Amino acid sequence: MKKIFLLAIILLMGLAFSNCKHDETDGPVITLEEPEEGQPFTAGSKHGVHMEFDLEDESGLNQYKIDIHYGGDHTHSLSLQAQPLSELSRAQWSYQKTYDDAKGLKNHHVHVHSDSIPENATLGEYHLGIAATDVHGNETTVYQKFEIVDYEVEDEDED
Amino acid sequence: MRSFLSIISYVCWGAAAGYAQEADSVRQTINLDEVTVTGNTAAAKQQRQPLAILRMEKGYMQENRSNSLMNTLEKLPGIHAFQVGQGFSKPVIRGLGFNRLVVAENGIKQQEQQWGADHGLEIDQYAVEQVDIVKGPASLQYGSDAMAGVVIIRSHEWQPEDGLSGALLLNGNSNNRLFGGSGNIYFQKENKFVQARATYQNFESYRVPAETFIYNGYQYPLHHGVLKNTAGREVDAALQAGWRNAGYAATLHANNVHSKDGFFAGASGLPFLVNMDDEGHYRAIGLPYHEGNHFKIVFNQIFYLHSRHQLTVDAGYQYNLRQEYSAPHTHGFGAMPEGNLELELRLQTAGLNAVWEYRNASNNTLQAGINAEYQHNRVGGYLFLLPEFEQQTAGIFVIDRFHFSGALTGAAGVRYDYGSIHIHRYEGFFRVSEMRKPAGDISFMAGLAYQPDRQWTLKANIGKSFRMPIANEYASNGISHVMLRYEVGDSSLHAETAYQTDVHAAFEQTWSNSFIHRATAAASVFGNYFPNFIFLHPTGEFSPLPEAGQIYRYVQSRAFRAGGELEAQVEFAKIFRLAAAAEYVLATDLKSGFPIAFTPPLNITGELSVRWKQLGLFTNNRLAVTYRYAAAQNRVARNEAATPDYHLFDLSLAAGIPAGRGTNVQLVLQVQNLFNTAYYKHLSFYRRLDLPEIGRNFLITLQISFNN
Repeated sequence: MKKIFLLAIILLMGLAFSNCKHDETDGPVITLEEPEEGQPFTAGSKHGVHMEFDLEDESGLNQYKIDIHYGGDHTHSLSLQAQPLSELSRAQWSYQKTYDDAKGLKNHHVHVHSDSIPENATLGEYHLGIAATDVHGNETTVYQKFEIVDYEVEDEDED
Repeated sequence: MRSFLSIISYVCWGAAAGYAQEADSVRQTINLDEVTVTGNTAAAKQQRQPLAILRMEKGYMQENRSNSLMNTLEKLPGIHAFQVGQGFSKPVIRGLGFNRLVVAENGIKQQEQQWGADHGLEIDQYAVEQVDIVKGPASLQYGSDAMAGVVIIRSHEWQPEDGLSGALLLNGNSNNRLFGGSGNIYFQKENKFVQARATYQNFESYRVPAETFIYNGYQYPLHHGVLKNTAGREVDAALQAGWRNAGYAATLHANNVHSKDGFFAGASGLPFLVNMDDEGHYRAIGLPYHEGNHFKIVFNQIFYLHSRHQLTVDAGYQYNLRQEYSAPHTHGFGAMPEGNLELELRLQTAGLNAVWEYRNASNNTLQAGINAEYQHNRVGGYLFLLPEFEQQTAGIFVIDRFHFSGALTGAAGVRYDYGSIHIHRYEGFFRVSEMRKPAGDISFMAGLAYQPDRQWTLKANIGKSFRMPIANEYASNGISHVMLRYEVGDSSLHAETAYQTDVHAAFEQTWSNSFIHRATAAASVFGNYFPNFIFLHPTGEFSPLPEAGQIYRYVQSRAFRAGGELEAQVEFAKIFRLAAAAEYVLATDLKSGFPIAFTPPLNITGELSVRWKQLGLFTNNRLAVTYRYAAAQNRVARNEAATPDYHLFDLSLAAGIPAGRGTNVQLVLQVQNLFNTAYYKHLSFYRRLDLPEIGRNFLITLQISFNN
């Protein structure tokens, strides 16, 4: 009985350590070139937000997704939908899109623009998230903060 | 029904003995099952059963009471609580939970804990008189879902003497400013009893030892360390009545558990700074929150047909109403729906279990039984996750227990289950096509227990279990609210099968007139092989919903699971007890070589306790220091975050205060997370948001009980 018990332990330990056959665990490497941190874009810009980044994955890329949402830090407490009174006419802008053009590639350079930024977009800090997956489902995300500034402010986002 | 346990079970006295002996309760004179037969005779008997059981009685629960039932039980080796904040928790045994584990209260399988992560165990923890946890496959008796084990919960019933008795319990916690109470009143006369219980609990958002947390590269504030919107309430009520005579006993239980719990404001969608603002109302519950109501009625009957035959029949009906509220635009797509009701579940379940038991002159026992269950589910809300369905399942089993000789006992059984589910079509932003899925298979189990002398006990079991996929595995299609994850079912899944084995060795020695008067040690090892384990796997495709990340799909793969528990205990110098336990689980997807998600890390616990019968005015005093260590979990699935290790210390002090005749007053003071350690729990859903667990918490419980 005790021998069986010992044997079982040895067997299980063996299994435990023989199963470390990891195929690749790392998600795609995303190297963001633009926008830079805090870069301003003007509300109403027809070019939208200009983005440039490199994707790299040894086992092959699958999809990437761009997610832009308002990340403002001014306070409004009631509910999530509440807006400060002075900005009632403005709306938080967001942009989400999934892209398939990197499928199967090991390297891919992306140069892409979002939709145009509405003139009445709420001003302030916005968050850009770029997520990419490889063929195994490994996922990586990078984030960047940028600003949406008022129409009158000097135009700096031309590319 | 429950007597199965006595057939394929033993009490793991190594750890449980201490707790069980400390229990204040006197067991009922009548029992629906052998397991609950009074005291140590049952223990001796169960030493001869092949499968592992841990038992906790009321005394243990009182001295270790935590915010929820499973948090109270998670110090036990091999047992964990899956949790979302302080409001919800549910059991995990040896790394498996949900629909691979059964929770049975008064013989009827508890519904809803098998669903998503944010569905807790809706049981009034103050109404729990005794908990038995079977570690290992218990499918034969409890149905095919019990492949990882069973948590068997019994409520307060028949007392040794007639009369009126009752108890009032009041408690408070410092961390989340919880206040609550539970009272029961019991009256027994001759062959009848009635009982009523009510429970109320109200808590604020809880505090963590951190002022900020970092999520997705951004730092968010936690004003005063409060996890905003994690407050909750609970209101429960229960009524019971029992009657019996020489040939028959029956108990009727009706109870309702109602809870409302907020989800951390950052848990729905990405955390926005504006959601983190300190509004000062820590007791308020804002969006997103969930409200759940669980109504259950159970009728237990036992027919003593003959001195050697008895028939046990348990029937139950349950209605789960669960609603999740959330501001629609946090997942912003499509037209803005009206109202905030995001998801609604209306699940009705009727179940019936019948077991016939025959015992022959040489004490061999034969059991044969059936289980049948019907479920009816409807959904509502502006989002979609789980489809509407009807499901019927039935099982039939035979178990035989036999004594080969004085030292060797064996048990063997076989079961056949058949079930079918009809899933309704859903067409909206998401689509699910109608499907009808039948499944049926055999489960079996065989085990041996060998007790050559008073010191040693050796056991071994082998078995096969299977379970039908449930509705969300076949047909979910939507975002899992708390997981921020888009989950999709697969209608082509096959039933899941498991081949399971475990081996157990225990040693116990007592000495009289010695510094050390008792020592125990036990080791258990288990191994499971699943040819087609069902789990969520990332597809690499992004969800059509913003903020939902990529789509996870239910897939099947070969999986191997193994692990074990070690326990040791020494009682010395009359009043001291030192106990230590360690547990480990390894779970691997054999196809990819990757670990399986949500596997608990190596855990080690140690406890030193002192018990004085009399200390000044106080009686039955106990002081305990508990140490818990969880190693880092670096064996993680794709995209699952590794979790660093942590050390936790708890203190507990219990004292009896003298009162009048027939009155008992007990005071329990506890400090949990004594050093206010910031730690992450691998099995917590807020782990994904990099949120530490609850900080230092002082708990006080005062219980006054009377009988006359």
